[in-house]
Amino acid sequence: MLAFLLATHMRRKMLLRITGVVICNLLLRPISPAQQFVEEVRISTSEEIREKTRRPMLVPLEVVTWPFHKLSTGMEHGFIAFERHKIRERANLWTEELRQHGVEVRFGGSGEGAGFGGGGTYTYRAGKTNRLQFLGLETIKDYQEFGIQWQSATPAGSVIAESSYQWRPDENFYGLGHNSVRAKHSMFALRQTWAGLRWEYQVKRRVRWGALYRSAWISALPGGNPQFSSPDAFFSNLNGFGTQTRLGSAGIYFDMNGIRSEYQLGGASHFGASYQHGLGSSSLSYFSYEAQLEGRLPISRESSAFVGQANFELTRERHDSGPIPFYMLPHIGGSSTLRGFALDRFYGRNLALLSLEYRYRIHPFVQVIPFFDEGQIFDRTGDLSWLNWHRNYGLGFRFRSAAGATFLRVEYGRSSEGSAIHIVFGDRERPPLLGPFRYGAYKR
Amino acid sequence: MKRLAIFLLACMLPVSGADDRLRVPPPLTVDADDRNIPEPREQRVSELYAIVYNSWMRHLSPAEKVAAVRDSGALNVNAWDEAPDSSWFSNRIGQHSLSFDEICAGLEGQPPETGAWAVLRVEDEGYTPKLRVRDHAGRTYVLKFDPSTPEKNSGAERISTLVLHAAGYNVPHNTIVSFRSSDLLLAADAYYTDAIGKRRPLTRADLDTVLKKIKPVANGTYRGMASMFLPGKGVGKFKYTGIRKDDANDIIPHERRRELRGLGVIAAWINHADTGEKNTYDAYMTVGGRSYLKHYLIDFGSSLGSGDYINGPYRVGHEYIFDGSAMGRSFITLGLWHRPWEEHGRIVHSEIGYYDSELFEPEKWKPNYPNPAFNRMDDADGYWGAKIVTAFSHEVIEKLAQAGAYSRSEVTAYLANTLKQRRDAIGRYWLDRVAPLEEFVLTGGRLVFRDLAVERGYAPEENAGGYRLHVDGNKESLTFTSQSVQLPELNLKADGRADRYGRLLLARVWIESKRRGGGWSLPVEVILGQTRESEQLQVLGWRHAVQ
Repeated sequence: MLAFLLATHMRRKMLLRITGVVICNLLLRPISPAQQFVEEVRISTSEEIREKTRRPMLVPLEVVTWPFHKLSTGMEHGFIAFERHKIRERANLWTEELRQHGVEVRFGGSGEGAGFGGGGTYTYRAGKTNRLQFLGLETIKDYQEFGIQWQSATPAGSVIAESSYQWRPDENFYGLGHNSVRAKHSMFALRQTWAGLRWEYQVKRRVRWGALYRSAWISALPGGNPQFSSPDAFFSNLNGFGTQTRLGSAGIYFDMNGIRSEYQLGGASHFGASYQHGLGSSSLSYFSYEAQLEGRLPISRESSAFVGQANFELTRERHDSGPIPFYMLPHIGGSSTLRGFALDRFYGRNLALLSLEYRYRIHPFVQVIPFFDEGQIFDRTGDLSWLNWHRNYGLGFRFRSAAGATFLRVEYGRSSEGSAIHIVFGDRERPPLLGPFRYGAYKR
Repeated sequence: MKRLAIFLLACMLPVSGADDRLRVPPPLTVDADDRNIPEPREQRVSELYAIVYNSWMRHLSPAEKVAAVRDSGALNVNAWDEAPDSSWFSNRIGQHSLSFDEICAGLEGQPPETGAWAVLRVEDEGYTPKLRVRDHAGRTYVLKFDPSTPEKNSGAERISTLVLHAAGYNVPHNTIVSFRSSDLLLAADAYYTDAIGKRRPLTRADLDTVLKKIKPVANGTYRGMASMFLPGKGVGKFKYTGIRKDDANDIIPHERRRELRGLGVIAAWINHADTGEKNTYDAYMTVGGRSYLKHYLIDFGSSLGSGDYINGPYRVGHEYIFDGSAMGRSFITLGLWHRPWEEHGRIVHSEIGYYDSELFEPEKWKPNYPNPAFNRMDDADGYWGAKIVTAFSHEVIEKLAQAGAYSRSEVTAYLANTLKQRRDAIGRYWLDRVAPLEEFVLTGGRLVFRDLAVERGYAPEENAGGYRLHVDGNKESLTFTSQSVQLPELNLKADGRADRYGRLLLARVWIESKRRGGGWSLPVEVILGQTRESEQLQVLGWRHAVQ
């Protein structure tokens, strides 16, 4: 019966070979007289063991379990080789040696939407207070970032001179405003270069404020992904598309961080304001205001807490300002903001974003997060409506290393536009709100 | 295709059926698995793989599911429901009482001779460095140290070595030693191995650097654990599942070996959660002209709660490193369920680590990750392990605690007390769940036996000596209170032939004992029959926890 069934699926020669091997090995293996003698003083004979451990219809079971068996033995050999050649120890040793020389290698994710990648930093330290750092990163989606930063710590605060270049070939754009249409999914490429000076003063351990000035060159170009249209296919006369914008930005910010640990009562806040003005032929002139608030309420000692977050970003043009390039406007959608929506789903002049999470620990390395987010894009403060939110809910898992750092997040969000799954390396971080340079940090 | 799939699935279903035959395993006290075999290849194992496979992947294996369903108990048990002596195990305290001195004297090997030791090798690749030294007598030892807290790991290793040896397992000779830096001399060919296994000649400066990592005790001496090199040639590790194909003596799947299944109870007693394959050792040795494999347990430095684990000490023994059921419970209860050990777990003395009796539940104890042999432990295996654990007397336990050589007497006292309390918890559970009856003898129609629960003080006082006897083929039962009973008329089944040991199996009876809080324990099945030497009806063997 078995032979008949198998013969319909396998070649006859192969079938005969397998059957022969099975019969020889399992049924007809002779027992030598010497073996028989020895087994008389064994607690069980080979035949008894074979009978007691016999599986019904051994061949089909073996056939069914063959892929699993191969997978597990392959994995075992791989792990043995990994341990035998001390790959982890070698990696740690090399990493430590590189770190002593100022080099830090980065692997893994490189920010939401940017894809898996890697790169490194090189830090040169001149004494205890001066540091020069170079950064280079590239991902499989061809995202690139290069940066240089010089930092000098003085009693009056830190002075930071920094410069950054980024190439982001696959950025999403669905149109402006709260009611933009998902079907108009376009992609553009962004090239951003900026250089600036920042001064940061640590008032207390958890309180700091700073001021900065940056000069930037930014251009939005047609995207490199042929599956998606360029924004100009859907949106004619889109401000900033296809041209380069030069601008300067001056701002101040104030941070307070009262979060001591994951599940303790605490809060954090960030407030910032900046003024942007066009350089060269640009007539840009507008203010940006930003606020980020977070509060934590423990529910169960050291294992669960509610976390509420609120973000507000406002843009106010001066009367003589030219139109603001679309990519300079606040935007939401994706793992860091609205998790039930696509990345950068909504762009607009102003935004409000509220998020409520219940974080609880099911293992020292695994955290579960049911969440609810709602966000709104609005033109004027008067348009902000408490009934007009984009809402989503969902469930996320956060995996942490032994050192406590989040290395992977898996989130499932559900919204009026369907479901979204985010698999992101690294923690959920809003971009540092240091002016309107949304792409001021590689991770976002 | 659909029919094929249905057929294949149907084939995989286990076949069950009532088996009414009288059976009793062979009357052998020794399993002669020491016949000559060619030298096997080194068998390597991976702890990472063991964690991944045993924590998650095994749940996806159809072969394991079928094998687990068809598991009818340990295979290497003899007529008296014991594991016979073998290259894996030798019956010691479970069969006859042992004094502490006899336990120490029975260890395979000797402690190192005092005086100068030649340092052969320094391995700086683990948590703490290890030194390989040779004493005056030419014996080689590995010197290990206490990585975090003085006395913790060395004390635990010494005590657990003695416990496991007394229980019957093959273990190395581990001794607590103290030495001065000046006692260590460099051997001519000494070398240093770094974290990635690179070797270079050892210098005195290397040795001094390594010794700086170890905290000396007050008088400038170092305390360490000297583990004598095992005899024979190391051919890798044994696994807790399957057999070793290049060892013709190894015919019993390891997950069906009584001594490996029952080890779970003994490991629970000493909180030896680090019982993975990496802590095993197979030695190819030649004795009496025969070369064969002897199987050892090694490295007990993490027992008695002494392991330093990244996710905290209190999990040890209560939860696997990745425990699906605990994680599931946390998930469903939205994190509001608190693990009791997180709330109430405490380390009383830092020299011992997390080792307590208040939260200890013998039947729920877990190693660091699932052990295939422990997973298959049934009631008979658990009872077998408990029988060994409860054989350790108060006196022996007190001496064992002293063997840890702790400098504070309250630490020794706490440890002795906790060992006793955990032993008693094991006894109360297993000797209550399974009828703890042994050494059945039939004389003049009376069946006489020993009750271990009564002898060792675990019998419920209110029901002491309550037993119930069933005879095969007779629906009525007979209750009695003493440790002997006049057998009623038996239905002798004289239809079989004598087995290869000349035994003719004729009848069986079942005896249960009364449980704490009411009800009856899992019965002992006693097989009666005749032997080649005598036609008189006699006890041929028994099995515990027959369902």
